[in-house]
Amino acid sequence: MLKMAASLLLILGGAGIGYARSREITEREKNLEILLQILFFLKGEIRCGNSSLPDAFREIAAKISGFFGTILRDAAQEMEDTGGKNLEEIMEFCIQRNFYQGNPGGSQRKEEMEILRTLGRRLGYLDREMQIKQIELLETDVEEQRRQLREKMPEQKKICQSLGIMGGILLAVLFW
Amino acid sequence: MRTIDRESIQNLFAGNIRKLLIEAGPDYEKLYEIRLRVGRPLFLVYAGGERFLQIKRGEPYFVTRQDLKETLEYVCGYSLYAYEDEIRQGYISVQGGHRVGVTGKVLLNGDRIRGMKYISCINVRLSHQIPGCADAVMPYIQSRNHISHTLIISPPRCGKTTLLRDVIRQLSNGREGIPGVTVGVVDERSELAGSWQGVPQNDLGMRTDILDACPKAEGMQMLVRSMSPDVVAVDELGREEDFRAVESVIHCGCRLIATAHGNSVEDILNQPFFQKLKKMEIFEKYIVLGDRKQIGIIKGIYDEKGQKC
Repeated sequence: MLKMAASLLLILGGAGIGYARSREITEREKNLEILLQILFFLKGEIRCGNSSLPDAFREIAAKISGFFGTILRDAAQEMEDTGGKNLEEIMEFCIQRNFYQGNPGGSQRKEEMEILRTLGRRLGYLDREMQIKQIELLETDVEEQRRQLREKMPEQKKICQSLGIMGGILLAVLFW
Repeated sequence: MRTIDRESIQNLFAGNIRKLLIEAGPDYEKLYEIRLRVGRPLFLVYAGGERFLQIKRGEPYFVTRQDLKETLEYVCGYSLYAYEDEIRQGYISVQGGHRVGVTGKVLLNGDRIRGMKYISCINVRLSHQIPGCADAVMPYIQSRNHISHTLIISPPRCGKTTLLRDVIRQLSNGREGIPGVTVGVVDERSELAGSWQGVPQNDLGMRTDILDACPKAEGMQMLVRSMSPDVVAVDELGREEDFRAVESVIHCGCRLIATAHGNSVEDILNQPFFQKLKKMEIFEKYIVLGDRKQIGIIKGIYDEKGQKC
């Protein structure tokens, strides 16, 4: 009876891990969606409002709730405090603070953080047209990442779920 | 008395310079300009002279290109592109009403200035708000029933904008039992109000409407049409269209307070555009400020005939 219960727990545990991993993939797609939205908003703020980066980041942060909003709000604050850092360092600092030290959901991956880092590297110099072109370039990158993810997503999710269940069964058999 | 937020000034500069400024602790109340030139010492300009910013052992600190780049980054809030129009005019207004002048290699598009690159000099001009500095001239400008069309004349850096700012404030708030009047200000270079993101950083009085970063000629007409001011105030008359706008303002019944670059009344009235105004005896009072040795010294006040009051 005890063996049965333990085996069942192992299978359920394995399935749980598989489903959690599959959920992460779905979350990743949502994150890329949010990053694309951020880039669209940023382009609009620069093109139509001629907003400075701190203003634009703050405006976008008000529209984008959650983790990315917090990073943008922090970055806007850091830029206004001007503590002797360049924009790349500011983005890195805000990512470190929010992602590595206090990552609330844990669903944001290093790839998404890299997109924010790239934003920090590319923005802030030369003229308005150049800013917009840099954002468009990044948009293309993110769209491509999302397209690839969407293509592979059903398959990857299925693999994660199956591996979870199969792993659970394997462990149950081994410990029987 | 000037009130300067020293931290906001220090935060405009690159890390190296900021550190030296904090260590040197200059008297910001008396400081007028901080000048950065690539490969040259950093100058602190006071009312009565100037001195270098020094590193240890009394050596002057030499400004590097990286210092300038970093400083410009902080001044623009990491958004050089958002200040393209201002840079084309050669200056950027920052929080606190201060003005950052830039020079470098000018990029042309035909005859028009498209932008600037290789910025090699930055001059941070600290905003001078000295409430009460116009006390001595106000009785000449305003009596109980009359406000005179007034022209403030002085060479650069002698305090004409500071004086005009306080005249506006006193006219707007009222003084010594004389009620305040509505004042319209065309602040073409964001110097009078020192507006930053649309918010005036200097006190121009409670009845003052400000058109920020608007060309003077159009601005004067707009104010007259839309805000019906009793007084219109503008800084640095000089272009032909400014004088046409002055005429229309005066014919609308508004009073005019303006400034112009010059050393004396004769100096100004000999300029072609002012000659017509002279014939019409439009300005009832001319206030001439003193030379560069001391800022804000009133050399003389003259009537419409050029006679000393």
